[in-house]
Amino acid sequence: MEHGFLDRHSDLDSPVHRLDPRCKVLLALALVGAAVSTPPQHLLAFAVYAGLLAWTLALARLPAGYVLGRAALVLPFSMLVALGLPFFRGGQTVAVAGLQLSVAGLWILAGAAMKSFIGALAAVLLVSTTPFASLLAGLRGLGLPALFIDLLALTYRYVFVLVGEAMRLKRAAAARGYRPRWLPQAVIVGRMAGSLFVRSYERAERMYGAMRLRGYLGRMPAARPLRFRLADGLTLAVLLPVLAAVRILAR
Amino acid sequence: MSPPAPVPPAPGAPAIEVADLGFRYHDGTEALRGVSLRVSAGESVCLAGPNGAGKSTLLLALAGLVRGAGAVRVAGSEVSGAEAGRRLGLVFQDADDQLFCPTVAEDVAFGPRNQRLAEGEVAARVAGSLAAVGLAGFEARSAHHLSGGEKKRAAIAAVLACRPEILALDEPWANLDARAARAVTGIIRSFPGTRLVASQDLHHAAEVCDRMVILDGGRIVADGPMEKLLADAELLEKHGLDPGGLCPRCRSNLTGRAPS
Repeated sequence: MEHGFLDRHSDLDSPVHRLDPRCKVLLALALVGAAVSTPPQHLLAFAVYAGLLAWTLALARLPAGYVLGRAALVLPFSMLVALGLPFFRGGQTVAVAGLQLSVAGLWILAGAAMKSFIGALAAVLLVSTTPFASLLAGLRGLGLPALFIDLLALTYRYVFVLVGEAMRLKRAAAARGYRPRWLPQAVIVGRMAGSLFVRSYERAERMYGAMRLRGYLGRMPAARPLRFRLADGLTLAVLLPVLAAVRILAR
Repeated sequence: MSPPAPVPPAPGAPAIEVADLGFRYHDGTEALRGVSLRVSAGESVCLAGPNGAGKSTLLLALAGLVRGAGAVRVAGSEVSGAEAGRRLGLVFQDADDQLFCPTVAEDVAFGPRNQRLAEGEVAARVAGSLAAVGLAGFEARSAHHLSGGEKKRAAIAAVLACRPEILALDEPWANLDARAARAVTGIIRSFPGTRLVASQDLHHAAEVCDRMVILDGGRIVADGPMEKLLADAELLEKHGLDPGGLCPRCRSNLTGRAPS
């Protein structure tokens, strides 16, 4: 089955890839937190956030087109929410191409664009430099509940299996001439969803059996402990104060 | 003098004892009816039979995943729940059901870690099991990036890492290409303990098993040496098995060449 790789390029080697996943998760969270809470008028602050991300992108030796393209996927969604604001927000207005637009509304729009793009870019950089298994180990190391990590791990493992099964059902229907055009035909889609549910349920039962046979007692065994090295400490010691300083100055 | 025993339990000691086992699924399907079977340590047994004969159910019962009426003993102790998995390692037909961890290494380490082994021993078992199935170097791969054959081998490695005395496999050659199937045959042959293989691929099974048990309609209908039952075309045909192994056309292409 053809599918996107969530953590594509995460198996490459670079100084960023080698950082402890906990360190990367913390930095990504700090950067997203700083960017989201910075008022949009402080363009310099956003330039610093973008600069840090660009530097990470260069250090990680990731293909820029891939990373930027993936991060840009978020823009249509965030823009859709904020697009109406320049028209309805009151206060001072400015004329653009014959339209009276609210200045405050325009700033909110710009802020939404910058913040969502920076947030998505940070997330894409994180998963592109950290294999999913390490990311989970990092989240567990940061104190996320083990059950939640197990759920994430199983979801990541089986979402592709499930998508594959759905694709096969769809193809099987198409191969027998199913071309949905009228609403009553949608019944078939409902039946497919039902069959998918039954299959998933049965798979879950077999899987649980396999887990019990290998000694599962309600909790995934902890993987090898992570190692926090000097490079991780230095990276955090330099970048966290930088982010804090930018955020405090941009008031 | 007899040759030294290849496995810890002496050959001839009972590995599997099933007495009058019956099992009925929730929907009323009677999967097993009065099955009695005794397999000695070190034996290689093929469990053959048509679709729906009860082969998979019997394996599940041996592993303790389904509980029917009747006695099931594995390696000398009563099976009452899935802890029999330590003695009997079951490889499922669909490897996707058995590889549930983010990476191959974590999957293979799952069993040993649940046995509370030290990390050094876990690492040694992971390396050893992956090497045994020819997947050294696949540690960091995730299961959904593996081919069908690689998935099957990874699932076997995950079971081998638990060091079972008995290796049971459900249709190990299903959906595999010829090369992957040969690899699986090699892995089963190199397992030193008792082997139980449920399969309809008799030409593959003949390479690893010396005894054949035919199951049909939840009952054992034949039990004997592999060659003897393989020669009984009528019996095989009657129970939905392929007596020829190779199609007549393929055989005519092979004439003149020495059979391998």
